[in-house]
Amino acid sequence: MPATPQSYDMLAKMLLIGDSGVGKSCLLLRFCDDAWTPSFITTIGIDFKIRTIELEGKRIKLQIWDTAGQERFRTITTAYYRGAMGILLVYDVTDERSFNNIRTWHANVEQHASEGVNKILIGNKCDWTDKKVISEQQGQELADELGLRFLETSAKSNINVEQAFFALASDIKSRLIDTAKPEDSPSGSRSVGIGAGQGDNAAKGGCC
Amino acid sequence: MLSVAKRDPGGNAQDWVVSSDCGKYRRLQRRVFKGIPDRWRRAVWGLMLERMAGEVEGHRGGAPSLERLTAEYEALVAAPYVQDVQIDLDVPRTISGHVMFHTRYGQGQRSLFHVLHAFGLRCEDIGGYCQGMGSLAATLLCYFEPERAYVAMCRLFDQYRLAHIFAPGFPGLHEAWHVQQKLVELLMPDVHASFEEHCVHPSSYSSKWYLTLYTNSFPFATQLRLWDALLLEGVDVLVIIAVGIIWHFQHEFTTPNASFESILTTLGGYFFVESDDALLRWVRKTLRLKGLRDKIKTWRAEYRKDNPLPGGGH
Repeated sequence: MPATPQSYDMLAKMLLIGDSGVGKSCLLLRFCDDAWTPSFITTIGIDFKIRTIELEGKRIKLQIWDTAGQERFRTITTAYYRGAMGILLVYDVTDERSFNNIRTWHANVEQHASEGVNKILIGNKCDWTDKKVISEQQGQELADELGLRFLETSAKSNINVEQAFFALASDIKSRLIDTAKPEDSPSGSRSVGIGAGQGDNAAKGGCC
Repeated sequence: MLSVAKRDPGGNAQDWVVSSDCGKYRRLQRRVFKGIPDRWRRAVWGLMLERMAGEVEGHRGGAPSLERLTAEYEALVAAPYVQDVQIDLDVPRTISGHVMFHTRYGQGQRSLFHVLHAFGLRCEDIGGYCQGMGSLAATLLCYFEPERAYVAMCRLFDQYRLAHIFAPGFPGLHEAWHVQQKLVELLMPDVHASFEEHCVHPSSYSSKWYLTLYTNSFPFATQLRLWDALLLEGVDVLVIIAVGIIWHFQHEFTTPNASFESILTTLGGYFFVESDDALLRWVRKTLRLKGLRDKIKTWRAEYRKDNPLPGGGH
């Protein structure tokens, strides 16, 4: 544990998952750097960014992991599920397949993530109305069925991106801080826990 | 240093050999690490790829000839492939900043699609098309026509054993991480201790280094210099470069302020290299450290012994 004073009250680790090309990296770039680029590059393996937000008077540092969508990378990415406190399941509203695959992604979360992990379903690219094939209602119905929060977003037009990450952060916060017994330094002990979980997982993540 | 080995019917040089009068390997190595002049890169890369195929031929029962692979490419391009949708999705997301690949469905993007399509079909035994291959094919297409870029992909996967890295479960990647950790421990024990303390594992930052051969992590010109070294020396160079990056930032990683996030933000970034020559000199010097290549060999063997592949292949 570093002796330096912490500039945040809580560390929340989040994970973006979903099919290839649904816009996970674009959502992350919008949220962390408020930018958008049409010429994005494919995420290989895993990437991460941080942003510290303020929520109800608490400073929450978000450590957000972005994953490769291609099936083959799951052997690498699932090692990161366990340490995640919140997961964003992303589909593309113009791509029916990515929507149908949400069930598979959800099953993966159930299998590999920690119990009680907070989740949110995201229908990205909602600005693209003439190409849209999955209605907001369909998204909401699936979310209700799986018991998830739901939002339609657009990284390109900056619609609901902040809201999505804030909503998930707030869920994590109320689960971990608001309901926890008051301790001296809940954030400190917790951040160590995450780091350790990660190391263990990654080290064990040999080939299958 | 080079002389023409083969000409096409029009008299244009097709392949090259290193002239026998130029002597020792060390001289070739010195010149390659000094940076292959860009107009010679195609010739030298082609030569090194074929040379590696020839060298391995002796004890592997023969690598397929250039002609055979070219013919194979023509046949595969015409065949259907289930991964076409995925490839089509990734093509515009691969070094799109390069003028050759700028235009959607332009010449460059179409060539890239064809090479990935054919190569994906060829390597179905290791799971077919995998993201990351695009960066390799695109770099090769800057120097080779599509069929020759395809041949170069085959050489990289067979003779340079990238197939081991890309196989299902990425066994070669895990092996490279093991070697990388061992090297960091050997050369920078303080950094190794800091990584352990902050639980920083290579999987969190270096998958893309090994799967794209450092595309998108360095400026293009630097990447080409690194590929010069890689094609001459083989995949050990990949690990050495990874260690070189860590070497460069080592003081940052061992300060009391270093944290999981600060380390990963540094390593996950894009590296502007002040001097490509200095970087290449470091790589060469490290490669030539006494006994280092043998140690790497031992670590690789040790990793494979502890983590045998289910099929026993590779």
